[in-house]
Amino acid sequence: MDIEQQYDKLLRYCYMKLRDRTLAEDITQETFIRFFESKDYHSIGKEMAYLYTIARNLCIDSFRKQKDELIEDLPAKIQEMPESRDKVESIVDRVSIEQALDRLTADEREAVVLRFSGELSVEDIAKSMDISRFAVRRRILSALEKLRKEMERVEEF
Amino acid sequence: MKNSELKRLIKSAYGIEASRKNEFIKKYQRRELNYRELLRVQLQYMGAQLTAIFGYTLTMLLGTLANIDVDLAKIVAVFAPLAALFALTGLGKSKKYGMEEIEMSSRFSLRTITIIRLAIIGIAGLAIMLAASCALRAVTGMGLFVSFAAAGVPYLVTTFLCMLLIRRWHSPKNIYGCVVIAAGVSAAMFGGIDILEHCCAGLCRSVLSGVLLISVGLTAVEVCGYIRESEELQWNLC
Repeated sequence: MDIEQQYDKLLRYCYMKLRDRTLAEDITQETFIRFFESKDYHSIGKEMAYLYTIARNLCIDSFRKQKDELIEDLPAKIQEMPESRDKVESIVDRVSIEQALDRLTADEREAVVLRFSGELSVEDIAKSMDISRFAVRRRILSALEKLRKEMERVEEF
Repeated sequence: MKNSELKRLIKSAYGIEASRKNEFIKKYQRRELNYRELLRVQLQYMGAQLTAIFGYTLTMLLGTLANIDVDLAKIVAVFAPLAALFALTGLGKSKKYGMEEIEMSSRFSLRTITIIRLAIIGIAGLAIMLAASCALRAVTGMGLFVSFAAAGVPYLVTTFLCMLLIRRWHSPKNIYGCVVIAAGVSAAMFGGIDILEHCCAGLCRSVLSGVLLISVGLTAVEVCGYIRESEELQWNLC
């Protein structure tokens, strides 16, 4: 496994779950540490599935520990000072897609992020989420449909 | 909106700067330290050059003395505690310079490092004693077992007594206590070796075997205790 490549993907996933960049990075690192200390993925059979399972469990534990409501990490977006029109459009697109993703159900959002951002196979996603491959495909298709409608609505606006 | 465009947007979602990524990757992708490498590092740390110089000096000394009319058995028995002392200083180097906490943070546990160090010391000590025994046998005509006992018993007794002291007196100054112990055992060998030289068969040999076995056993107990204690933080023992 290439840690450098997977780090960013896992960080995105954790940020999607937690919406706190410091915490997301802590959880990302903790996930890798636990992954390397454990050899259980041999019995499960899939490295990536196991990695994201650890990440999900840690995110859930972290979420439960937090007593206050999570505040979306707005400064992360505000800090990006666009220097060009292209950058402005890029940020607008990013904000739009994130808002559209937030309107999906948690399961749909997770499946679609793991598929396209994490670049996991359907089988790995199924193992990680403990659902069937058919269920994964159904959620991804449903999510894509909703996202397309939402983005088209934003474009019209 | 095209699928490809949508997928590209999804991929860009939730992207944040990984501020601690490089540091983390540097830590976890560092060169793996295998056991061979660890052995090499430990030999260097303990002063393999000094050990080699010591071994060479001893060999030359014995070789020279073999051609002179001296009681070689006495020389070997008196010199053996010094060899034990020399080995123990290598072991204590880490404690003296407070390196435990750094070593504990490394990939290998302090227990593993201690076992490897003791193995190095043990093998080096055994090699020196065997060389001395062979030289003694060649010169004096003593049996190999008796020759080995002449070198091995004072070496093991010194090691046992010094480790007993080190484990109970946690101080950098305990090495001076070990020097006193080594000197004491050397002095005792002046008289003891005369008994050994007259030991040829029967009861005497059995007694010698018993003394050697007891020395080995007691030393092993202390060494195992030392290894066990190396798992605890040094400041917990103070």
